[in-house]
Amino acid sequence: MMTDFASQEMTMTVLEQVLEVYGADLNRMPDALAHKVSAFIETDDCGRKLFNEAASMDEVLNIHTDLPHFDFNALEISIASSLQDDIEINPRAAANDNGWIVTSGLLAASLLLGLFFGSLGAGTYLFDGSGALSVASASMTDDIFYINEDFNLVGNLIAGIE
Amino acid sequence: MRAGTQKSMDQQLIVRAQNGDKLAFQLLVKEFLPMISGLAYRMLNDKAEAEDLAQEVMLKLWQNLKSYDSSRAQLSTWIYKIASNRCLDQLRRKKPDQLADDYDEIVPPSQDNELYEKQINKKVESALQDLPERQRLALVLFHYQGNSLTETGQIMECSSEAIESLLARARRSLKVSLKPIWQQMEQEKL
Repeated sequence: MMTDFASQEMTMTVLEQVLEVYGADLNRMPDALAHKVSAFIETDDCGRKLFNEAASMDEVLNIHTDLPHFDFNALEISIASSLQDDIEINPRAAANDNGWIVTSGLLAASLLLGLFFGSLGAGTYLFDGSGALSVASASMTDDIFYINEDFNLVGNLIAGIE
Repeated sequence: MRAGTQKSMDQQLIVRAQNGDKLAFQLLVKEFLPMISGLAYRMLNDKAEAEDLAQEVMLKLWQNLKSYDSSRAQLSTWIYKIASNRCLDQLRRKKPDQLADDYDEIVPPSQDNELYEKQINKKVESALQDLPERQRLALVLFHYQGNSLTETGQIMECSSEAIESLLARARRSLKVSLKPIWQQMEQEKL
């Protein structure tokens, strides 16, 4: 809520507060307040002096009103060109969104497959009984015949499923 | 205060722009660019920075336009809010020595009127820069950009009473720092 200066009795203190907020521009004040200020400064010399000081102050501030020359056409073109770039960016963003869906789908499918094979007891064929993973052991020894002859993992796995 | 028909036209442009119509957005850019540039220049006191900031704000607006809800605030208030926050961010990044200005003797108006006005302009800019950021923003939004107390409060996300307080403190400081100038103007009138 704004301070309701208009409902207050106009005194020098209130006028000073009003001028500090609105400056000396009566058009910026609510109508009722502007009338009250006008009436006060017509009859009160000190009030008029204070109002004139605020008006001079406004005049000084308004010297700063002029802005430098901005090349708005160039700015608009630059913004338009950035918007064009945005068109090129959006399809990529859309493609990335699809990529996430595909990747998530593949991850979910592989998880389901793992659960399926696990439920069939295939896990027992993946280990050599010592608790060590056969694949890891094969990669350590780098002996392809060892895997084929003694740990035919794929063959055992298929046999297990059958 | 902007007319009702203008607001209605803005509303149509907003809806079109929210649906991806870049031409509609370009029309909004044309309308709001001077407003944002003015605010940015008065806050940053640098033309190039003001242009960059205005451009940045308009692009941010395009990216976030879908989240704008016309039932909550006018578009101009929303844009002012984005721009004001960007101005305050930028000011906080600036070093104090970049803002400082010298206080030379002013050439009396009788000698060279154009030079006199330039010098006063420089002094006012300097005095505005010396104000705390939020006091300056309140003064720029209310006095220079012509927003009402309520609009200024909405933009700065505070009550109208708080805006009154910011404006009063700003004018009080300026009255002191610009005293030689406004007193000179007083004497010229007599």
